[in-house]
Amino acid sequence: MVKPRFSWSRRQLLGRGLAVAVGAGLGLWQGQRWWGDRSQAAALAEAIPFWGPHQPGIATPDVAAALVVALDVTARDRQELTQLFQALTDRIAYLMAGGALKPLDQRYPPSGSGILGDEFPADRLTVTVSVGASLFDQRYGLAAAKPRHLTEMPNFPNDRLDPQLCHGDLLLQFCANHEETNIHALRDILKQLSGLVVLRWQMAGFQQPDRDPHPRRTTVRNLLGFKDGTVNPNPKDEKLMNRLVWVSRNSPEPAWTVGGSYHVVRIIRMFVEFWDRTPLDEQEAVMGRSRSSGAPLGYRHEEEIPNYQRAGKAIPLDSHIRLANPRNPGMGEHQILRKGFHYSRDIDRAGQLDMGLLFLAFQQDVKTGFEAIQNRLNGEPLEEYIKPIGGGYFFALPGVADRDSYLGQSLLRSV
Amino acid sequence: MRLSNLRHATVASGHRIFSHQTSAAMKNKTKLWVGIGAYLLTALSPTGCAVAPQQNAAVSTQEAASPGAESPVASATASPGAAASELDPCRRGAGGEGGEGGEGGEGGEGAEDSSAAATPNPAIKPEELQKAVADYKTYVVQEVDRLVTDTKVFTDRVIAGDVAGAKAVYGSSRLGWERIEPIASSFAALDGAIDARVDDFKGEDDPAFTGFHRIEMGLFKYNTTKGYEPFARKLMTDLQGLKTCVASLEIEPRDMVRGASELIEEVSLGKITGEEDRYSRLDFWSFRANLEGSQKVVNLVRPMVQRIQPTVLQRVDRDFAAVNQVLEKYKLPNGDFMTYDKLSAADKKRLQADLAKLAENISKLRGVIGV
Repeated sequence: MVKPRFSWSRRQLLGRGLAVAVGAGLGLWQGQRWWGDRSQAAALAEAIPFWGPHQPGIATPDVAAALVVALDVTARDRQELTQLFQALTDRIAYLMAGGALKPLDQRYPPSGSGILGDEFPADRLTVTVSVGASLFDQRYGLAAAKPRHLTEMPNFPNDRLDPQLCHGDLLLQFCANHEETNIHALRDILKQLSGLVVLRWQMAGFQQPDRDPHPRRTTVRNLLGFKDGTVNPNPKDEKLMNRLVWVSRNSPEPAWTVGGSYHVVRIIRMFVEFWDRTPLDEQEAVMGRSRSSGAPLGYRHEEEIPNYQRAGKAIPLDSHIRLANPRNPGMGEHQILRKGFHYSRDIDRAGQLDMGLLFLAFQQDVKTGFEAIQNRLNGEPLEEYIKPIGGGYFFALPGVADRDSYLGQSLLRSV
Repeated sequence: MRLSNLRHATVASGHRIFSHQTSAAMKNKTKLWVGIGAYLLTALSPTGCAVAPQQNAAVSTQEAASPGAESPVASATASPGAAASELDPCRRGAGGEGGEGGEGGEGGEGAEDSSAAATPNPAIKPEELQKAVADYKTYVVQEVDRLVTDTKVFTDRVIAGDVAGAKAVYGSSRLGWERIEPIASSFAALDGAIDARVDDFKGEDDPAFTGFHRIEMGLFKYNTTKGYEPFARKLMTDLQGLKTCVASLEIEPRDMVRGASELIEEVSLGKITGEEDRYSRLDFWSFRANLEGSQKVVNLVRPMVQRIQPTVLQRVDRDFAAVNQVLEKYKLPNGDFMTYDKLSAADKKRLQADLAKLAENISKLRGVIGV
């Protein structure tokens, strides 16, 4: 029998017991972060600014809950499309700031779902709006304004894309501290946009945000048990973001896209039962890193940069990290800003767990960004354990400068 | 109307949780957690799974107790009042909510009570609203008569073994039911016996699976009437039961106005998917009949809404026109509809969008009228 390392005082026990009882009584059995976090009130109140040259939710620090929702636009004409973007702008600004539901005569449906109470917190909510290639078809006369590399997401060799989980005219990416905040925002927005859009697909994701932010280190692990996002560019480095993420005036793109970003969504199923039955040395060879420390194989620390000239065979040539980032001269230009969330939703027809990665990536150019990386990864040994099943290519609109402007304004005015 | 039942049940379980916990005065922060907790509990409550088996059990029990006779209406869902309801075939169940607030005793929750006691908008004369409800009652009775007459033709053909003849009138025989569905399906046991779908039962052979869709399956899936004669007879018995129940029914203004919304929700949830008439693909018939039933209510309250909030009326009219415009594309020269599989993906989206908008706008009618 192991002796407890410390014992709780009676008062502590009482306090903790009470907290547990209260938590359980309210149905908050979601995990410690729900009731154990002292800075909870502060975090709830924390609002992310909506206005600026770029949309929030891209270079914004990661949060615990994501929800991506693809929509098809049913606006009848350009005028209704404008109305859609204006309503979306108003609503996102309102929801991100946090506030109170407008009280109505109770014989009317209430002005909000109320799932967060009459007063809803900002809760670090961001809603990021992106457009898909299909919005630039004949319907709204936008063909001439299409971003140069915006296409329907291609079917890569290892993909088995479910048409029910792919593409869309619009993509809304919700991120917040809590899933309920995302759902609250989604339901509000859908109500406001009734008639103008229909739902196409949605996927919810979750993660434990990085507890120790560092340029070349992370505490985030994916559902394969490996550290994920170690080499992600630092979103606080504005220069880097300008070079890698935001479309700039020098980019060979339509002028309206400046300040926007190519937005890639991939839903990647992981065969976790199979993976968990795979020897550790093989898992590590497939990834190229130590599972425990995250260090490149043959190195001691996660933040060490592998030297492939000298590393020899310690890191297999076809390992995930080596293919994804071979560290050839000039590779830095191809880096992308990625956000990885877990998804876990179902049991497949074989009786296995349907879970994996909800991969979100932003870049100045999808061809030299995500697509170049994916093309290098095609055929990697990891493919035996993963299967991309959905997602799409989108373009995150430039930010909204001020209260007189709206999302998509530069696009709609350009043609 | 299974979807509708399920919706009500879920809402009800949410109410219970809220009423239990919001009684104490709470700080805003606590309120948030309660909201989230209740949301989680509600979302996770197994209601979705529980409804169908309850229905199964109820109808099977009734079958065993008195096969064939007038009893299809005898039993109801497995609620606390089930025993009493066996004596009352017209007991109103989850579908319509007509009796829920009053007789249950467990309902007593703030929001529901206050809306039940709400007084109409002062701009409405009581007799004006009474007249509209009386006219609606006349409409409901007429539609039930039409349903009984039309279905008699249909079931006679089934009993006579006339497969082609029965198929030809299947779609039109049901119109009366679909127009007054919120009222008709509020008699829970009757709804289960007349209009339930195979998904509500253990399978195609479940003896409790009766009514229109059982016969539809025989006709359109197996191309036969053989063995379906008892279902044809039982359907007529159940429809006679419905007629009896409707005759003595008192319709509240609130039931009528809510019904206009319920029909649009029914179309948006259950008809748009093509699950209703899956064997015959005659969904457009039920689809349009639901719309007509809703439009009837709007027309009855039209003068009142026009006086109080004309913009709501304009929007509702515009949205009905938009939905009907899409349906018109699927009409044949002889007035029949094409089969539902002809619905294009683009038009399905159009309908989804326009129905959502219509549902939003029509949901304001209760507030405008004050019921």
